[in-house]
Amino acid sequence: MSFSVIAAVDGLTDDQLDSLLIDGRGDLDAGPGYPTLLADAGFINTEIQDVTDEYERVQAAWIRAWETGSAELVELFGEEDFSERQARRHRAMRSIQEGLVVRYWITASKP
Amino acid sequence: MGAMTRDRTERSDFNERFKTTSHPAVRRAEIAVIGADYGATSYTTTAQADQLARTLALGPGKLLLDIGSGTGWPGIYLAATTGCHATLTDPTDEGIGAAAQRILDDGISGTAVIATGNSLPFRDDTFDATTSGDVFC
Repeated sequence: MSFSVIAAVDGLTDDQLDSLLIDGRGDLDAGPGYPTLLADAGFINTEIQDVTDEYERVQAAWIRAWETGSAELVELFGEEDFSERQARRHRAMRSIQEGLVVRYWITASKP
Repeated sequence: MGAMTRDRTERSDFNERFKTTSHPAVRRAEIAVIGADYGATSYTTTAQADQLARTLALGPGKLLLDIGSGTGWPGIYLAATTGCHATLTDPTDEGIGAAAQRILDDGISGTAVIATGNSLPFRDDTFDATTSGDVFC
């Protein structure tokens, strides 16, 4: 199996975790971590690739693409919804740039 | 907020989001960002999906499970580009409905099933490969 996850960085302070929660990202705690979870489920050969840089690039691209199409998108979603979606992307961008979240591709196999 | 309440809220949010994914402006943004037009709001680019196909050794005769597929990215794309059979699961009727329609429109080998990731209606070891994009947490 191969899957991506967006996770809170290990070892964040309570203030940093509160910051993520305030930004609507309180769902990022992966508990004991994926290597442990996968091993407990019988998976082997777990490989974890950090793709946070790519995540930041793609998040920035979403922000730009929505700005580019803003006239039509505001018409479709309404000003309030459009602004909230963009604000959410900017908050996510900030949490990446502050080093609070990471994105991984995790690959593992069954024996 | 309890887990069940949050799950229902998120499902409702995604249902609303998927209603707009076929709009031309939304599709143009998606193409500009990830290089595909499956109605996705994903961070997985076409290049990453191609890498995923190689990692999972997908090809004709292989059975792929995409958990939390939404409208079908990247599962349908992987079926189209590798010839595998993609089974897509998502808890939202809007997302899985769009995925089912795209499977028919593209004529690829695929199945779309409404299901949550923690209660999948399949026998153990049914699939050759499994993927999921930013769904687990």
